[in-house]
Amino acid sequence: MPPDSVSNEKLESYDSDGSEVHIDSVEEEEEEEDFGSFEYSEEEEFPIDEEEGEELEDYDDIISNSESQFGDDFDIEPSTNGTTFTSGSSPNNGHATTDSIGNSRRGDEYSYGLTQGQFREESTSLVNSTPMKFKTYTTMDLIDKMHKQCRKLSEILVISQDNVINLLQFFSWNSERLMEDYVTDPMKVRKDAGLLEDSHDLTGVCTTYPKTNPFSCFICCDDKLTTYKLACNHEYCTDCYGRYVEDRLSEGRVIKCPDCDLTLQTRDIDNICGEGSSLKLLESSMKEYVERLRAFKWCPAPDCKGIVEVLNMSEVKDLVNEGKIPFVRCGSEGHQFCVSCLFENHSPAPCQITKNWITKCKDDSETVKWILTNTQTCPRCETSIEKNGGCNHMTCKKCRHEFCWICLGDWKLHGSSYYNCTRTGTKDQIITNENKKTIASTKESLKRYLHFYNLFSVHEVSTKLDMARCSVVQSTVRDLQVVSGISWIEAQFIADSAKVLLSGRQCLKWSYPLAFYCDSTPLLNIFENVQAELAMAVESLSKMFEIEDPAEIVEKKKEFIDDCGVVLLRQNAVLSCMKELLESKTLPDEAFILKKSVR
Amino acid sequence: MATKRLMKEFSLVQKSIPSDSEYPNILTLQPQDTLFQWKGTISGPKDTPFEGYKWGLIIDIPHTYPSSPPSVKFANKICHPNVNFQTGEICLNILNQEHWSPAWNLINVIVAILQLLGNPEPLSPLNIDVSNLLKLGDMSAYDGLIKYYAVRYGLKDEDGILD
Ligand SMILES: [Zn+2]
Ligand SMILES: [Zn+2]
Ligand SMILES: [Zn+2]
Ligand SMILES: [Zn+2]
Ligand SMILES: [Zn+2]
Ligand SMILES: [Zn+2]
Repeated sequence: MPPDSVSNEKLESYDSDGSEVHIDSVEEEEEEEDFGSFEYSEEEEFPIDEEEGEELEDYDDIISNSESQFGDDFDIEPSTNGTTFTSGSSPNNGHATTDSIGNSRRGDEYSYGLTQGQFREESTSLVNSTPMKFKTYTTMDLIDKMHKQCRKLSEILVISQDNVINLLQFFSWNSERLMEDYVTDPMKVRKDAGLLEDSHDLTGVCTTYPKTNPFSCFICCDDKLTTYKLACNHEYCTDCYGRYVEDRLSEGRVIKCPDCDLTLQTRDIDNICGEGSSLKLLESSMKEYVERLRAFKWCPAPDCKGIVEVLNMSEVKDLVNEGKIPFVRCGSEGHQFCVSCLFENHSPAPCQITKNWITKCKDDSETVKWILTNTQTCPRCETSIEKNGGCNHMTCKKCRHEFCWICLGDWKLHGSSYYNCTRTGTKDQIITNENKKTIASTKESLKRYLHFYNLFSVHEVSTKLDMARCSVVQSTVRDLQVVSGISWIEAQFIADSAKVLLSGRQCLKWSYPLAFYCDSTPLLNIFENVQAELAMAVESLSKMFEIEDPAEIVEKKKEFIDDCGVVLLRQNAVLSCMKELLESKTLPDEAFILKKSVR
Repeated sequence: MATKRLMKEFSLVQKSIPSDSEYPNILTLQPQDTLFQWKGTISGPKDTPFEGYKWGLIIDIPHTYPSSPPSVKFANKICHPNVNFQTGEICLNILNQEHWSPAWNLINVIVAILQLLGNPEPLSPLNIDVSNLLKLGDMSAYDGLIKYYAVRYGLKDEDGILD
């Protein structure tokens, strides 16, 4: 099938998701730059760059929107040309077919079997992440925006833009307050902000001294030939002045003369530290600027500088009350985050649970850290055991039971593969019914919390390992492509599998806080079984990414696709089961106002 | 850079402490084993409850000085809203990296500490008890408590100067 029709089909699937269409329109102008940096967008075999971005969006939505009802029969039909997963009929809405990776891009026949309207209705009721309308910004976009605001204010207040930048930085970018105060008493405002009282902006002076009569700098106490001073005549050598300014560029506040309150202007900063240095200061004051703008959110991903403007901010409150997660996607990195919690997309856990959980983790972190690192209860006789060495092979002093520190499982069942426990502990880690009884009977809520916290943090760590591994594998396969001429489409399954893995891991991670806030009921047992199955599927896929040889990876394409299918399937099962959990009457009231709202 | 600067400060200090009438409350200021450790003695400023008593100061200077501020604490116990009674640690904004300027020297720092003695800042207390008295405006109790501890822990004349 020629690439063109492949992309058309993808486009179609994208459009058929009603909830995603508005994003499309909003993002239109951004699309090119946002998705331009996807690694494979430069491949020539695939002529239309934009579609790849959409394809990924689409793909994610399949993950989160696809319909499958927990308890239905899932048919897994391996085929030579990829794998199709079909969920059984869902009670509300006739029939829905869930596509999985491999399929659409190979051009196999598939359809949603639903009209757009039906799909929209269905997807809003089943899925608990709701994409928001948004626009993404880079740091440079925001600097432009800041400059624009400065230009506007400089016209209104009839002062130089340099002055406005200083004043806004002094007022933490609260332009309303600046205008109010400046109109009331411009002299006082100027004085407080360290500007000269008349509005002539005197730039500082750079002086060169003759070798025979050098300048003695007070800061370094050396004889120097070039100096800088502001209108106040406090003069220092350019080295010391430069160091002084450099140290303060990242603080986002006005920089004053080392010895008085006079403020350095943009031009002074550029004169001292080199052209463009004042931009650094502007960039560092951006944090305060963004905080002033209610609809602008920093991407919470570590080291990410992405900024997103939420265009339908007013809907956030209602969505959260309905148990939906209002999420956006930051720039090309594709970081999904919840604009209410300012946390990564925490599906399936609703916002309230997430907020409770995060607060709880913060409050308890010290206790937890101590207990996690120092004590454990023997799973057989419940004697408390303190850990005093690094070894995870524990022997209970009372009943001589040997168990694993990490998962509390029987040590003998571990054999020598302790490493597998921390990394992949699946069945072991899922709490057994017996364990649950003991937890209930001991009524030690902290211990119960510790259990979930432990699982949660294990998957948090694994997420990082997965991410690192995924990028290694993707780059080795890319290298192989160059050598062996495997087409982009042939190797695309790696990127897709990585997405499935990370999304599955995230779903798994956030399902633990959810379980933590649920009463122990048969439904929770089911949920935990589904969770355990997802855990196994995720670990199995994660293991595939440990393959070192890129050729072997390409050979195992089908296994990757199969594993992905299983992850997607089980992830859907977790999502549907979660919905039932939230609907059921078994939730402790304090944790939820959601019962009614999730319908 | 730090060494050269500190040498210069040392020669300045030798000229002006204790003879200079501009700094009547700085009794001593001198480096110890290295130029990066100094000790000083101050007397309570006039018209403050600290008047008539003496305290030692311990000054540690980072190798990044004067880009970074020196760290200064009291050597003997002093009762003051912005000084930790147990450790002698001082809450003074110019001693923080973000407010410090390389254009200031050790004498400036000690002058700022002397000013703090007469002008406590109840909003950033390190000694809750005495700063509450200040907030309540109970000045006789405030002065009384300070004097009580000054008598108890202040350096006596027979102790001579701290070195
Ligand atoms: Zn200098
Ligand atoms: Zn100046
Ligand atoms: Zn991001
Ligand atoms: Zn949230
Ligand atoms: Zn035991
Ligand atoms: Zn284990």
